[in-house]
Amino acid sequence: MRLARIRLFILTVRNEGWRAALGKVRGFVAMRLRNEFLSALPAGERGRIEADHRYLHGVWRTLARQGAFHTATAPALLRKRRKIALVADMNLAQCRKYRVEQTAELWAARGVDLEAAHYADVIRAMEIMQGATHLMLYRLRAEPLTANLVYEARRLGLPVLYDLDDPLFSVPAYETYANMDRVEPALKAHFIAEAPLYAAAMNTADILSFSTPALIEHARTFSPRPAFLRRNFADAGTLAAGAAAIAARGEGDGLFRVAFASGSRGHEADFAVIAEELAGFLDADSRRRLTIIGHFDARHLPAALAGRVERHAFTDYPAYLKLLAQADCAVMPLADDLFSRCKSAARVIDAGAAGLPSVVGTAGDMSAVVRDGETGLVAAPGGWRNALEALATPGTAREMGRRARAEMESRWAVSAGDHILAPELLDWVEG
Amino acid sequence: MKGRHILVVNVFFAPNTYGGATIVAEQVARALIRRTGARVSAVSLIARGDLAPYAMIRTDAGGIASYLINMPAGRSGRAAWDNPEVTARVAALIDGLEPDLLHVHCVQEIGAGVIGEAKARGLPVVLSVHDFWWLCARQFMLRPDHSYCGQNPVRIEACRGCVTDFPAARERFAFLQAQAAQADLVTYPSRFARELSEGSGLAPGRGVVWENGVRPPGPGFARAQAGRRARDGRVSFGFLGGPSQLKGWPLIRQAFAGLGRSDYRLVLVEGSLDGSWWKGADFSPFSGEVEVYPRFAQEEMDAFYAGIDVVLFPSQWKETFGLAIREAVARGIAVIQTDSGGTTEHPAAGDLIPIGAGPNMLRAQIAATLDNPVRGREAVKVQDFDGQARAFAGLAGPLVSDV
Repeated sequence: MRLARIRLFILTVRNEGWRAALGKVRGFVAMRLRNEFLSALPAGERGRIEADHRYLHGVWRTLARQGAFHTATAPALLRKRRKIALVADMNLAQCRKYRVEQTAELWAARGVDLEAAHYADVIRAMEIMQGATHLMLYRLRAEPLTANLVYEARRLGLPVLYDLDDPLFSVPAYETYANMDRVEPALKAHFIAEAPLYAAAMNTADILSFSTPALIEHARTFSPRPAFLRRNFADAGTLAAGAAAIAARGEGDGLFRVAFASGSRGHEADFAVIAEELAGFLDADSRRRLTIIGHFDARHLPAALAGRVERHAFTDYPAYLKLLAQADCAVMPLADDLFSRCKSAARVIDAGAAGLPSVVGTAGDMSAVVRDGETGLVAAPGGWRNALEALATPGTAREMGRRARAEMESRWAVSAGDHILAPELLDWVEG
Repeated sequence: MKGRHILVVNVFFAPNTYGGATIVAEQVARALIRRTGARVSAVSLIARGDLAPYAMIRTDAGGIASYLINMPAGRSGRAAWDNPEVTARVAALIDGLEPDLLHVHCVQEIGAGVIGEAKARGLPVVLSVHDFWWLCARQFMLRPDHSYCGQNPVRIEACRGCVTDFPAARERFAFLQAQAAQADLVTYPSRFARELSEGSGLAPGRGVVWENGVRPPGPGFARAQAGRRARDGRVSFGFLGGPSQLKGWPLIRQAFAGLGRSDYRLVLVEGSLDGSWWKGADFSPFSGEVEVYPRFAQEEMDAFYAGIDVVLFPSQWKETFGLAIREAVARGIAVIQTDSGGTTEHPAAGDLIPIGAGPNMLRAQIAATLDNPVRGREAVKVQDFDGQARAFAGLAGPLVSDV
């Protein structure tokens, strides 16, 4: 072995000179020290990984020089297989649940694979697109990273869908949003400044999906792209957590509890819609309580309610459903403004899963999920007190709650029914 | 093969076309699409510092979905033949694409584990052996001093003095044999390659000769060749091998250095991807005109071959096929070659120079050619890629017929 190497060295000196021979010896020794082997792969770009919008720029340049930038139809499409890459803002737990995990569950039920990536994990986001047939973007705003994601999708020939469940693109919606009056002006200004960026991101897509009909209508004033409905539903995790919450429910302490849940700051304005009627309801019987779960500024609670309120901090989803299940009904008032009219019935689903009837107003999409008088009550302005009194009739709330749960397990469980998924979206993926 | 989906695995694939086996893999894939209606996807490797380790990029190579896996620097020697990361990537691709057949070509650095993964999924596998990577830890059966090893059959115990880590080499040998044994069919480009490989224990009894095709001359080739010969009376020699001892470049230098003539052209093809083969090379031993010809694509080869009369092929190892030789004889171009294994299995093989012979025999044949230039030699019929694809369909068709 050693002798053979010496012979090779002499041969190399003879053919290529001392400098080349010594260079090869140096390279060989270094390689051996690193326990590496001599790769046949030509060293490509030596640059470092830029884990941001520039991540694929070097690859794109090389492919462009090679005349191999664009790709033909995704092979899986030819195989009649579908695989969705979903790149999403997953910073908010409820957003992740309703628009990422539910999207995966919905398409899995159709035999469509889905891989998701947080948008900031650009390496994974770009990776999952390589084997995909469709790209879905959720809650992303226009910025260099989004532009580069869409650019890669176009290189790969992937159709692009943009999904949203709040009118983040709308200055009028933010400006008139009653709950915004409860947050710092700088935060409101920030949201308004971002709105055009969400609108711009929407307009990079081929097709849009939204969580409520009202949100679709409003989005159409900002984008010419076709927009369709994908409602939130009662996913398997929700139903399982709800069942566990119902099972953990105690015998009861004789109190009648009205639950008000708030998953984010600023919902005091919603509460104000029913504060007076609710106070009247609670005052009418000393065994009535208000259970507040999550964020709420106690300064906005009417003095009359003091001593009748049970507070629970914002918690994880199973614990939240368990708290809900301890109550007798849930109330979901919404200030009647442009932003709130776009809201989904997520909290109705939460309550139904936990076996609770919901009392909802006419704003937003909640009344589309409540069967009035069967699984809950739809209260017109001024009608909340009467609705609660009706539910407080012995046995009524529990019976409605059972029906609400059954409704969640049947009509609102995962399905591609057009009350959950518009046929056009089904066709966009499967057609 | 109509409607069947073949996943081709090769260390290189378009848009990174490099080496004879890659040309075969690509051209057969295209011919299969064109002639049989098959669908083809391909997976190959790249090495970029600006891409995450083992990241995959999809691109398109003339109707073939081409998946490129990015290899990180600093891989261990073992990863050259068994790389679980790459194996997992290819397995995921198999799961995603659901091909009907896995066609494994050169899997150095990809690793042979892809065969076992495919078989575990019930996928038929055709292994096409193109070189001695399956037998030799040094791939080319060359000793460290670059002399031909000459084992036949290859016995791993005899490799003890040749490899740096013999236990690893023995483990490699056993692993590759175990993987190859799982293939449904093993193809070799020549009788020589099959006999040596099977004799050495590589999937004995599963091998068939599947002769490589080459691109036939186009309709304008004969006129271009005649035109060039009319314009320039000098004999033009062509060399496609690169400046390595393996391919016999030192012999060419020495042969021409002692030739004492300058009435010739020598055309050296720059075959490297990075233009490094002939950069700074010393051509002072050559009295005739030396020209470096840029790397060319398959569809550009007629322009190159129209400019030469003789291909020099003084390879110092036993090769399995020799594409350039077939391309040349298919165009009526003479070949001066060594007795280098499967490269001689063509109808136009003449006086073969023994491997290891000094420059004198080569020089004598060059001088004889210059003294009696045979220009306008008759083209020899050799297999083209369409024929090779038809042959493949005949071999592999039964494996996928009941899919």
